[in-house]
Amino acid sequence: MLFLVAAFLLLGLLVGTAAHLPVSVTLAAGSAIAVWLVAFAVRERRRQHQGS
Amino acid sequence: MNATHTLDFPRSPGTSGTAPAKTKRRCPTSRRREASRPGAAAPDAATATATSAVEDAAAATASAAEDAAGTRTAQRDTDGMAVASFVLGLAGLLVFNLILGPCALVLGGLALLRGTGRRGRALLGTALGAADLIVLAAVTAADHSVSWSLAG
Repeated sequence: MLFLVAAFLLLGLLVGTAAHLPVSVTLAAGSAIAVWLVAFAVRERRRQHQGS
Repeated sequence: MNATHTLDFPRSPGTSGTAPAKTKRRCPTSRRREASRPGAAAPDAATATATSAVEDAAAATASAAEDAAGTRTAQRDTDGMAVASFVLGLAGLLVFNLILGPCALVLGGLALLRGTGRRGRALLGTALGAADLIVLAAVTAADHSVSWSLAG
């Protein structure tokens, strides 16, 4: 049982910021990061198609 | 040269065919040098040195072309490092800070050190990698706990 608690705490340390923030804040930050990544991917794809 | 190379493959398939192909590829240049020497043997030594100088120049341009191809590949590698640093640093802001933050820092720093063409992206990735660790430290200090905050 103590092993499970230790593993849970280690998982929290591994996950990092998302483990500390409230769920709603985590979801908002995650969606913002996802939007940024998708915008970056779209711009990269457009740049690649222009280059070749 | 390419024709002999492609003709060689059916005869010697597998990994053993790479070494003979290399020696075959080197053959024409040496044959060209052997063929140019008898022509320059009869005249004076000045023409011989001139032809050797021309050959050296040709070899230099060939090696320069190879170097250019190598630097082009290295440039693409460093650009990929810059982009990877940015992506990992951005994802590391929310999850796996302790893993993705140092990865982004190292990749961005390497891309900058090796002279990437996408300097801004590499700088942004390095900054995000540092921000990962700073955000985790700040949140940990605010929570007074290393792991989960179960307050909701």
